[in-house]
Amino acid sequence: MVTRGFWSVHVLSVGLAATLGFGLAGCGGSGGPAGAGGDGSPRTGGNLRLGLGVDPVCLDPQQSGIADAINIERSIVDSLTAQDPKTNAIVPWLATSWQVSPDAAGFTFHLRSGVTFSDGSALTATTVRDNFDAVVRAGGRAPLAASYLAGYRGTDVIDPLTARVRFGQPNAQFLQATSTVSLGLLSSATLARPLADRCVSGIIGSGPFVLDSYVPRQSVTVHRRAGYRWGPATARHTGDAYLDKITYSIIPDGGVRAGALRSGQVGGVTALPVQDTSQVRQAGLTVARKIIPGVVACLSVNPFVSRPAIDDSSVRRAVVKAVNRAEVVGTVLSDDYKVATSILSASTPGYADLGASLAYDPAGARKLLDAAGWTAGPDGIRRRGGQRLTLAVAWTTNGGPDQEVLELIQQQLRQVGIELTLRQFVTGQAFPAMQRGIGDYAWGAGAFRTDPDILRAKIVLPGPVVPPAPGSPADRLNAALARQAATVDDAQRRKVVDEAQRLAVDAGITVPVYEIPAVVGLAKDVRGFAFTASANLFLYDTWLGNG
Amino acid sequence: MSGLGVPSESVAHDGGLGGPPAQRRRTGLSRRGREICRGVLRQPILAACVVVVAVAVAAALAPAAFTGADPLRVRPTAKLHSPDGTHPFGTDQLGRDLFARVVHGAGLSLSCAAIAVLVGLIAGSLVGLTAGFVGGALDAAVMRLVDVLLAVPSLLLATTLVTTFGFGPVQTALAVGTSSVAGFARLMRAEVLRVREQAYVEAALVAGARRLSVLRRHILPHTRGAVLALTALDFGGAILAVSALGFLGFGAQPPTPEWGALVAGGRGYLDTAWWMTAAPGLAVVLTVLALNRISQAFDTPTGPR
Repeated sequence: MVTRGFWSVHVLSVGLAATLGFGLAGCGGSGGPAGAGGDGSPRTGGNLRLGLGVDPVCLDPQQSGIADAINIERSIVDSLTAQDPKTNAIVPWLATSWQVSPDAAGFTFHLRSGVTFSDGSALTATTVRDNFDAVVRAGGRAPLAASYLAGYRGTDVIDPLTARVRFGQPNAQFLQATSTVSLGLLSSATLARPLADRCVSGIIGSGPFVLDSYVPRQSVTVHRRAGYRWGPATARHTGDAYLDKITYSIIPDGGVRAGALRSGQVGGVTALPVQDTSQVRQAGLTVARKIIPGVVACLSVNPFVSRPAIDDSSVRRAVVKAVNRAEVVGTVLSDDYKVATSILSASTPGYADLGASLAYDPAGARKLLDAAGWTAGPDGIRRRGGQRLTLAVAWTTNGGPDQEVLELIQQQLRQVGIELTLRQFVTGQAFPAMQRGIGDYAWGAGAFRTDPDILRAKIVLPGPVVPPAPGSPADRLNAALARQAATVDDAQRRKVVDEAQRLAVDAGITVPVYEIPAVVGLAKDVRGFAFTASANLFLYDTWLGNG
Repeated sequence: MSGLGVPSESVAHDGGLGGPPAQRRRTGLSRRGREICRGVLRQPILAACVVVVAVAVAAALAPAAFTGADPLRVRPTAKLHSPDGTHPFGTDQLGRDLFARVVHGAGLSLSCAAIAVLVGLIAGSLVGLTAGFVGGALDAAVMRLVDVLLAVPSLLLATTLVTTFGFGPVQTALAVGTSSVAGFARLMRAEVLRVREQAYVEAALVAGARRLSVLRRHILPHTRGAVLALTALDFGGAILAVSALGFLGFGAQPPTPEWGALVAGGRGYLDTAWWMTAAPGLAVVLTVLALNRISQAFDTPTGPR
């Protein structure tokens, strides 16, 4: 981690010296581990070094929600079910079969026998109960996992290998939720430890790898577990994983991360920056990508404010029309990204194609604003009754190209006479600021989930402070989102989700911009790499050609 | 040459009780100015530094005189052009003219640095002056506080402060200024302690002059040289600190150009578009180096060696 340490000192003291030609990101060519050894059949052995963009902060799957944390945890922790990345079907993993009650409030899981955690304890129905009880007990410290268990009443241990999870109301999304890392199963020993301790050590799962160590902001290492016999139905092989070890290094700077990959210091990186992708491809390295299912990158109305401009549905709809999504993808992003055609990405179950509503239509935007009485002012920004048409965005960055995208959107909106100001916050401070009434919009760079329920979890519902008028689109959106969670019948649920997407887009409550891919760069000798259905790393089948 | 430097009447005035201070200050300043002008002409590097700072200040005051391009205009078709005749500094990832952005960024960077220096100078001088002149328990208490401030690296202190003040150019300037208060306070106190032991100060006090007027008329003017040198030096430091905070995203909010933010914007493109970091980075480096050299000129007496 010398490189990282050097870089951060460098940044803090005089980041500007970067200009003096410290081509950190550019150091080295594409040397890397030589050639593609192997004949195509997987080999066992080797240490895969991966560069992650973000420190996982907490390695307890129940408490964490950061993509790179989930990327690590997926190797350590197994789930009751798995989701097929191609079909989105839920397939067996630690549960061999299950039944869902007609009202979607009861789920019975039949566990695979002979499964043990890496501390030797066996997986039983009691473990399942302990896990879900622990999530509910953790409450606010496990926001994501707890949202999957909304309305949880308890788990009945019917026999040692049969558990029945009960909810107070229908919970249609729960079955998919059991395939997530957040509801992955931990050993009772782990659950007995205090929540804070679980973040940095002692995460014991039944996965193909075992956690060795986590040094915050530096690295995580895991090693292969011998005797693993319960891979998910989506895996391409059975038995032990191929890799001896995986070393995850935290390399926050995108350029350094890409440089580490090209110089062969690491065998793979997550969150490969847009501007480095083509060079990585040119160097003959692999770029794997998968559009992240769930909510696309979008502006969504801050529900805690009520101001004339943002309350005007003509303004909101004009913003939706004035954003040139193709230009955003073509200029700032790359072919790995896709223009959003709904608030959900196209790979999410329940997605409805609203491409027509999201077409670039500056003339239509101008017409809407003219009709609503916003007339062009002397500086090109429209006014109504002496008030400038200015909207603020509260945003944070997670290392993606958020700023460039927002600056481009800012210029696009200016073309139709809307001023967009950007207010940047450090992670974690944007939401409190929004609650204080800062920002008409929040910029959300997407959210992972292969279930339409993500809409409810990720878009802040309209109107906690100013309740939406009865019958208004915001009010109907709230109702639709609540209804989809309670709807059991798949076709019926799709219809409600469809309606929710239309309301979110047509009333301008959200402004979808682009679908976000998980972009992973891999060295030539890394084989058998796969994404999970939620676009996380799945390294069970991965092997090294020269291992 | 030495005759030019120290007219004997001036010394008499300084030591005397009833000299006309205003007149004396004028002659002192113009003398220093003349010395520096002569010094500049004799030292080409110093002259170059003055030119660099002059250009930077001119760019800050009248950016339109340097470029007609709009620093905010996005042109997706012209993105990441390397420097050429049309775009002397190339274009960025949104196709904006980088020369226009660096020129327009000068205003914000330099004015933030100026605010920061003023905050540090005024607050720090007041603290140092009071502590040094009053002495005793107040001096001890204030200077221990200053010690604490000095113990924290100033950029770290500024970063912490700006997180509390909120993001924005003025907040950045205030944070940088506040973090330099301790340095000014310490220097000012040392100067006051030196001057107040002089016979003419004691004489003034014995003659019954009020303490405040002694402070104003006899002590403050004699601390000027050292404090001015520190001011010039601190201005360079402030540009660097403001740019560093801008680089970290605390300063100007996009799309407003600011030197540090421009360097940060190009950081991801070191491999593919070196000019995005090099152009604003050179602007910072040259301005800061030039200011450092000029502050040396303030500090060291010019004249024949």
